[in-house]
Amino acid sequence: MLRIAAQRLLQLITTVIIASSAVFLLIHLSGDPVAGFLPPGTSPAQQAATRHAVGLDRPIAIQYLTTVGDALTGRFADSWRAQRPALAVVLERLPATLILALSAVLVASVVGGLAGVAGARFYRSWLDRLLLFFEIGAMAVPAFWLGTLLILFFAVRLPVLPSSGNGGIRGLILPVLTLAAYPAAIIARLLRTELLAVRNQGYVRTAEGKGLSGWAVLLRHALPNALLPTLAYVGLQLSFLFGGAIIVESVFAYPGVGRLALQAATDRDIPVVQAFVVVVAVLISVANLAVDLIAIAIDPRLRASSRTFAHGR
Amino acid sequence: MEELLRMNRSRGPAANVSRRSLIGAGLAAATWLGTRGARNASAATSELVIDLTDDPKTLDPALAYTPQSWSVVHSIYDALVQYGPNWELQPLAAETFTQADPTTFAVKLRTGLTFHDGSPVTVAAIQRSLDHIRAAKSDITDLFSVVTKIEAVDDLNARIVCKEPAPWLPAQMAVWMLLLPEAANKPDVLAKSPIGSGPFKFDSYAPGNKITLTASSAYTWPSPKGTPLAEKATFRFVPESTTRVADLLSGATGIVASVPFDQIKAVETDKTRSIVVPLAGSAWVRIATDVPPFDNVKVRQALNYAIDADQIIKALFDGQGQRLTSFAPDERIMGWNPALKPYPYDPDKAKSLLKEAGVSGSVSAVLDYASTERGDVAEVLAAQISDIGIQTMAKQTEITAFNSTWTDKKAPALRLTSWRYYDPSTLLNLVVASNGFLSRFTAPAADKLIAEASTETDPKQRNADYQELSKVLYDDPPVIYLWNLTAVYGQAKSIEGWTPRADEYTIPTKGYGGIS
Repeated sequence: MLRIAAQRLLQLITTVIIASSAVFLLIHLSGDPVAGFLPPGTSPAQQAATRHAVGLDRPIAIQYLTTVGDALTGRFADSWRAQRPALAVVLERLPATLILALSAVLVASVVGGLAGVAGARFYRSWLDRLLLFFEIGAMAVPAFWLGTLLILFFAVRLPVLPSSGNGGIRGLILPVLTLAAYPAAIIARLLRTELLAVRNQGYVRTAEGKGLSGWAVLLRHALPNALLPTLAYVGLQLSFLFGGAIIVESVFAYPGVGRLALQAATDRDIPVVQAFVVVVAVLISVANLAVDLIAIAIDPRLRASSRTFAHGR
Repeated sequence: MEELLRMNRSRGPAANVSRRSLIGAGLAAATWLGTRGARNASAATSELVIDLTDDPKTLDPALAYTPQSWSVVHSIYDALVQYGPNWELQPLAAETFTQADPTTFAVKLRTGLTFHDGSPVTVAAIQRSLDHIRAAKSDITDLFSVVTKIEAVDDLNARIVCKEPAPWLPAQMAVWMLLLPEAANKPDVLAKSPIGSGPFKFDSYAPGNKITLTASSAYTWPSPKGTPLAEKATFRFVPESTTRVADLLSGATGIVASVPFDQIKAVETDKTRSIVVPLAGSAWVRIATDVPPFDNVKVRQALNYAIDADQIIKALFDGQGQRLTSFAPDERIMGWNPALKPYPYDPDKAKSLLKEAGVSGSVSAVLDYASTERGDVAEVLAAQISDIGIQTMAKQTEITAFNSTWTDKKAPALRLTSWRYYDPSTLLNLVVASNGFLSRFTAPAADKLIAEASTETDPKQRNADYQELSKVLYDDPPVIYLWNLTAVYGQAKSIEGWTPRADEYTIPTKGYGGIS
């Protein structure tokens, strides 16, 4: 177990170094950050002063090492716009996004899971076809358009929910639905396919042969095996959710970290961009670890191998 | 319109068309659903909610560079002077603000003004403001370097002394020189709990979400900024325009900033309306005059004849906007020359001018536009220029790259630009003067007038200089003159007494400019 922990820690450090290097590279490839930060026509003297103030006049190697060092220690520079520590600027906006993203994962898993099971149980029935229709719709509709439609319907036409989400559960409903639509559809499709794939496996047919009901076979025997690929997908999806959150947060004026990151990137608020990327990289690593642990809990084969592994044979 | 659409299509899809047209489809759906009007905006007399486009990110007045930041800081703070409805400078915290001699402004503060913490407003507040601008890592420190000292005559009288005549300085003071109390010297006050002498007291700030203000009970004097419209004012930050419009239609918001032109009609309901305000700013295509064939004045005139600006305004700006004859957008702005008429749309004349200039065969150009400009506008402009024989392609550039290539000889010759300004001197010194940091233009006659006007302290003479300059730059155009900039607001009809300001700050007061 210790060895796994050490391995994970090493992976995390590598991830942080790669992520901060990538941000550094992209920023320096996309032109002079100061030119984007200052208004056009700023005098060369003022530009030089700003460049010095934010440390862009140092040798590039030093800048790079500082960037990576900042990322590893979590001591980022001050935000160029807000002029206070970038990490604090990011962290104060993080809880809102976590609530949004985790609610979306939960809703997507429950709704997608139910739809997937129902689709497999009533394969080729009218219900399956109806679900398919909605699933393909949810996968095809971009989040900003779905969000806009939901606002126009639920906030303007039937004024039952707030049009922009700040504060309270009611403000969370529309953004969560918008963000959850795509992963829910994918989960439903995946789970349905996996359930249908194991349908002809020996153990399922044995279970059927024992005279178990359709539901019992599906839930007790087929589902645990179909769950693994779906779970792996949910783990992968977490990183996409952060991307989706940027759009959803903008549409719903939701005060999350995704919108902050978008603003920071357009404003060339470099320390905030760096802090955001590193924080998200760490979060996703942790989330993937959690997914792996869940997979181990579900799958006895993984459990066995990890035990052997931990004991070093 | 047909014509425009045809040309637009012939250039291939505009870069950002897909998203906009999808949102357009969303709006069509709204019409289909039959939108309802505002529900509870009548409660707005005690609390008013305003949707701005973006989070100001800082409450520090020296770090405010956008209309949304200024909306917040100018609700909390007052400057010595402000812009009135006709772009005239009005004394605000100053009772009088005069030019004592070419390098000195004399200020007399109003008596009895107080900051929100109860301390009196004295001339020390002006010094603190200047000190702060210099100490803050501000982009505009340079502008105020012309001030050598502020002499306090007594508590209410001061002389602001400059090292050279600076007739453009009051315009900058109206934006950035906000009066600061002694408490502003304490750590975190400016950044986290600002104290000003303006119409509203700061209450709270939730980054990314909202800023809440409460009316200052001391703000009852006849301020040209107006008096608080509500006991409580909340600024929310809503980046998506469709969402802002939905906020207004659902009654969640009383005033929304920046309604897109294609949504003006959606805002016209029985409970809400749109308000269009011309701004002190203009849109133009900068021509690189240091490369052939654009070094030839006839080619630049031809480009001005090539654009059917009226048609574009009609089709793409909902008819909101007026043609330019110079950088000055209308008669309220210094340098507006009534003798000039906009270049008419005359492609035949443009073609013959090109022929006279010896331009024939395969001449091509690129029209560069920043990611903050509208792609559909750039596409139509490029198509119309192509029609007179200069094959032009519109190209979108990320704003940073765009801003760093103003003087780059390898950069595209044409660049679409929107520029807002407070005083003509900044724009002209940067973009037109031959030694300007953003200039590729050279005209000795223009240089002379720009230099003279920059230090001319007689406003009449200064205006005359700029008018003459407008004529020079009309005959020898460094740009394609397009149209003035406008701001579009949405407002619940139940909110009475609010008028949009000329400077694009959204401040929840009634009686702006002395209008009651």
